[in-house]
Amino acid sequence: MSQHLDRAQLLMEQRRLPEAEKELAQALQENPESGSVFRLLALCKIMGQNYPAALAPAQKALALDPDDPSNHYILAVVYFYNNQSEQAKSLIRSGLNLNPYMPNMFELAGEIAMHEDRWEEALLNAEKGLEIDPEDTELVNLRARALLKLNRTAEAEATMNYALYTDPHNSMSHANQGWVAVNQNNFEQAIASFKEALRLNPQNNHARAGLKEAIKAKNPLYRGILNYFLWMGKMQSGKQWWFIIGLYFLYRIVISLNKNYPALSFLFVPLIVLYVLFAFSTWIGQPVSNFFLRFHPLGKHALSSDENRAANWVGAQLLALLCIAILYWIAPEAGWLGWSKDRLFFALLVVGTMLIPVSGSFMAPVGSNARKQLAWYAIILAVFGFIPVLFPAAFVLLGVYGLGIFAYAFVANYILHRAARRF
Amino acid sequence: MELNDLEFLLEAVKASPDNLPLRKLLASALLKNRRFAEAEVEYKEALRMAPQDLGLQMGLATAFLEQEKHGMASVIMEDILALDMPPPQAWIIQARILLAMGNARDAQEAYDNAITLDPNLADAYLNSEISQKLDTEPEASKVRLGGFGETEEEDRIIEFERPKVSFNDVGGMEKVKEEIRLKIIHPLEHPEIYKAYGKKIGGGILLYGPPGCGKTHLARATAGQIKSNFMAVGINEILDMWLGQSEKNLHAIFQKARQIKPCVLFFDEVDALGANRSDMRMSAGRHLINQFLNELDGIEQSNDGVLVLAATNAPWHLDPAFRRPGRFDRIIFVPPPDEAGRAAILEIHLRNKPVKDVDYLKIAQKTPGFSGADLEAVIDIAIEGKMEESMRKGIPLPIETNDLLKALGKHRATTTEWFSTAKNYALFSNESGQYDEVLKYLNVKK
Repeated sequence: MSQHLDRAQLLMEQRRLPEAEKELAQALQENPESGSVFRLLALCKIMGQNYPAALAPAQKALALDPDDPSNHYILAVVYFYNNQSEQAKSLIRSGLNLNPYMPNMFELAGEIAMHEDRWEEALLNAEKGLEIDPEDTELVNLRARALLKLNRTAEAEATMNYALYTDPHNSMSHANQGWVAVNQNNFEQAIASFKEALRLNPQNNHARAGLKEAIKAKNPLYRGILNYFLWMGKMQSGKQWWFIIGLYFLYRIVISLNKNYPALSFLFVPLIVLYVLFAFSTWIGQPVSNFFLRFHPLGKHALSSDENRAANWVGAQLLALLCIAILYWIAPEAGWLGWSKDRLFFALLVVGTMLIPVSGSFMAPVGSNARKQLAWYAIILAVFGFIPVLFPAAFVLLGVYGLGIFAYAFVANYILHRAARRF
Repeated sequence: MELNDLEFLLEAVKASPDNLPLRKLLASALLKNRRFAEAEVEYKEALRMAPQDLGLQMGLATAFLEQEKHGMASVIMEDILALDMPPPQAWIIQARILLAMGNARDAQEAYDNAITLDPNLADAYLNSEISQKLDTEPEASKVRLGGFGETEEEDRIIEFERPKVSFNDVGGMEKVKEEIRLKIIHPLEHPEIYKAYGKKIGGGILLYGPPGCGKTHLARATAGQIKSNFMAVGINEILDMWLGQSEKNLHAIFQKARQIKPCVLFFDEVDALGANRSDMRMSAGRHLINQFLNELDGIEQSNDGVLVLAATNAPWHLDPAFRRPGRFDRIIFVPPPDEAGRAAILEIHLRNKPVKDVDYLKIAQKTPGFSGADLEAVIDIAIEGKMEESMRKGIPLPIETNDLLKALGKHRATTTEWFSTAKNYALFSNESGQYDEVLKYLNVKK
C-alpha cells in the first residue's frame, strides 16, 4: 500500500480530516484508479458530515472495484445519509451477496429500519449481525434501541448491561443505558449514566439530550409530557398522524355534544380544557421546560445555544403574558388610556397563543428549510395578531389570526415530520 | 558592581599601590565590567607582586582572551595546566580559549575535564557553543530520520536553529510567559538554587489552546530567550513515526537534543503522537507512546538541559500518562490574545504596509475571540479589497480603519468552534480540574 494511504488512514483515525484529504489526493495522483482510495475519500466526507460530497467518490469506488463488498457498504452509507434509502437497501443486498458475513452491513440495514420506524426489522438485523460478531458494541446498542421502541424495556436493560460488561468505556453504551432508565422512569440512574457517557465523550449529543430530559423529568408536570413524547416516538409515523387527527375529531365531537347537551357540560368542559392544555403543552412543553432548566446548575450546560435562544424567547413571552395578566386583573372596568379590558384580553390571547408558533419554529433543526418556513409563518401570524390589538379598527384580522393558529398545528406538524427524516 | 564602586576602588588603589588584595579586587571588578585592557594592566601589576598566584594568572589569561589575544592567553594557561593539580576553573578557561581559536574538539575535551573535576562548573552556554562548533559540517545541523523514502534524499530531516526571537517579540500572554520563566528560564539562570533543593532541571510543558493563538511562536521565543537551540518536530514527522522506523527515529531526535543541549525540543500537535488508547483502536501497538514516555522520563540518558515543550489543540485526546509528574506536569492554557494583544498583533502585521491613521484599538475592541491567525486573515481581506480599488483608480491607496472594519464582516473567529468543544470537555470531563482555565476564560460558573 502506498505511503500516502497509510498516512491518510492514520490522520482519519485522529480525525484530522483536511490533512487526510490532502494525503488521499496525493495517493490518487500516484494511483488514479484505486477503488480503496476513493472509498477512504468518501469515508472522509462522511466523517466530516459533508454527505452530498461523499456521493461522487463512493460511486467511483464501486465503479472501480465492483467486487469489493466494502465499496457496496460505503456507497450504501452515503445513499442513506443523502436520504436515498431505497438505493442504500439495494446496495446492502448486493454487498451481502458478495459476502454474507459483514456485521456492519446488518448494522446499516438496522439503522435504516430504525430511521423508517420499522423497529421489528431493525431488531432482526441487529440480531443477524450479532450472530456474526456477538461483541460488536454498535450492534448491541442498536439492538437495545430497537427493543426500547418495541416496549421490551427489560430486555433492553439486559442488553445494555451486557454491552457495558464487554466494553465498559463506551460512551454510547452508557448513553443508551441512560435512555433505558428514562423509559423506566428511573431518572436518578439515568442522570448517572448520562453523566458517565459525557465524561467519556463530552461531545456525545445523544447523552446530552438524555441528560436534559432526565433532569427535567424530575418535575412531575414535565414527566407527563416526556412520557407522552416517548410513547409517541414508539409509534410509526402513519399511526402518529391517525392518533393526532383522531384525537382532534374526538375533541370536535365533545364540543358539539357540549353545545347540544348543556346539562352535561360539567362532564364535557373538563375534557375540552384537558385537550386544549394537552395540545398546547405538546408544542410549548420543550422550550418552557428548557427555560426552567436554565436555572439548574448542571442542566443549563446541557442546553445548546439554539435551545437557549428558544428558552429565552419563550421566557420573554411568559413574562409578557404575566405582565398583561396582572394589568388585566387590576384594570378598572373602563380600562386605561383607551385600553379597554377587552383589548387587554385580546392581547393576552395573542401573546399566549403566539407561544405555539414561536416554540414550533425552534423545533425544526437549525438552519434547515423547515426552520425558515416556520419562522416566516410565525412572523406573519404575529403581524395578523398584533395589528388588531394595536389598532382595534382592524379587528377583522383577528379572525385570520385565529384561523392561522388553528391551521398551524397541522401545517407545522407536516413540515417538522418531513424535516425530521433528513440528515 | 556599580560603576561608582569601581571608581572608588581605582582611587583606593592609587592611594595604596602596594595593597595586593585591593588590587586583586580591582582587577576582577574591571574584568566584570568588561574593561579588559585596564584589567590586563592591573593583573600584570598584581602579578609583579605575587608571581605565583594562580587566580591572578587565570584572570590575566581571561583578560587576554577577551581582547582576542589568544596566543598570550594560551601561553599562560599552558603553564598552569602543566601543574600537578590545576584548578578546575583553568580547564574552563582553556576550553574557551581553544574554542575561540577554532579548536572545538580539544575545547570539548577541556570542558569535559573541568566538569569531571567539579560538576558545579557546568556552563550550558559554553557547552552548546562547543557542540555547535563541533557540528559545523552542514550535514550535522540536521537529524536524518531514516527509513521513509526509497532513497536518502527522500528521508525526512529535522533541522535545528537558534531562534532570534525572544519574549519581547511575543505580545501579551504575560501569565503564560511567567509560567515558562518559572519552569524553564529560572532553572537555567540559577541552577544553584535548584540544585540546593535537589530539584531536577528540565521536564516538560504542554501548551494547549485554540489554533492560531501563538503556541509555536511562544515555544520558539522561549528557546530564543534562553539562547538555546530549538528543534521543532511537526505533525509530518510524527506521522512518519507511526509508519516508519518509529522508535528509532524518536530516539534519534532526543539524542540529538541531548547532544546540542541546552535545547528546547518542541513537539507540535503532540496529540497525534500521544493519542489516547481508546481513540486509537485501529492502530496496533503502543510502542511509540511508550518510547516517547521513556525518552521523556530520561531513563537511559539524562535529559538535563533538554526542555520539552509540546503544543496541542486537543489536549483531551492525549493519553493521561503524559500528564504524570516529570513528564508534562505543567499544562498551560494559551488563550486567544486579549484586546491589547490584538492591537499589538495588528500593528506588527501592518508595520511595513501602506497605512493611514489606523485605529488599532478600535479594531481590537471589535474582534473578541479572534486569534492571531484570524487577525492576519482580516488584514489580508482588507488588503485585497484595497488593491482592487487602487488598481481601479490607478493610484496606490493606504489602508484605513474603515477597510479593516469592512473586512471584519467577511471573517469569523475560528476559535469559536474550538471553545464549544473545549467547554464540553471542561464541563463534563474535568475530574482533575485541568481545564478550569478554559472555564475561567469563558466565564462559565460550574
